[in-house]
Amino acid sequence: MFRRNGSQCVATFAIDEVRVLRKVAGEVVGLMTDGFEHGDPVVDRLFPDIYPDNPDDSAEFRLYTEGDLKTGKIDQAGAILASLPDDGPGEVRLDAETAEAWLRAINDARLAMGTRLDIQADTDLSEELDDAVVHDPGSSRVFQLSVYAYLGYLQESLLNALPEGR
Amino acid sequence: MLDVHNKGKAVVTTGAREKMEMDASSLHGYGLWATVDRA
Repeated sequence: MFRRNGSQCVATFAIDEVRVLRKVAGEVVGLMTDGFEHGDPVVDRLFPDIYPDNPDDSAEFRLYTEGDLKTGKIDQAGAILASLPDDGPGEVRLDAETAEAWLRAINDARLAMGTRLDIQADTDLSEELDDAVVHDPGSSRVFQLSVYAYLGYLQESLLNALPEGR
Repeated sequence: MLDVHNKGKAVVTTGAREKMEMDASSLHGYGLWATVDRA
């Protein structure tokens, strides 16, 4: 979890955390590149139609904005990959700009996972996790829900570690 | 912004169409579900 150190946000990650974060950031990049397809609920969540009742106008608008939006999201996920140790535990130190990229990328990853896991505003995450464990403790849903919850804690710790007055 | 919390949506900006589209796109950059509506 992140803490403030001078003007930086600092966290020490265990090897499992580094691997999970690399995987998650890599999946965001994958979604923006090879996996990019409208009609996929995750893509539609991250790139909503600007005019819900007018597909033509929405599509035209996309033409001008989607590229930049996508590039931004790839760069932000890339910022996570660039600041993590290659493979192993280690310390990460983020300046304000990189911290913002991390926050945006974690947010994208959570939105993507939340959509896949069908998490709604009123979903009780610990209840959901308990159900999944009872159903099959070794399932990928248990893993995904745990990662989703972990990203939430990480996001909160990074927000709290940001230098004030921004 | 309390409207977002209570109703799930809120009007966050108003103006000409081009400006609205730009604002919506910026909000998409933050992962927010932003659409443009005619007033």
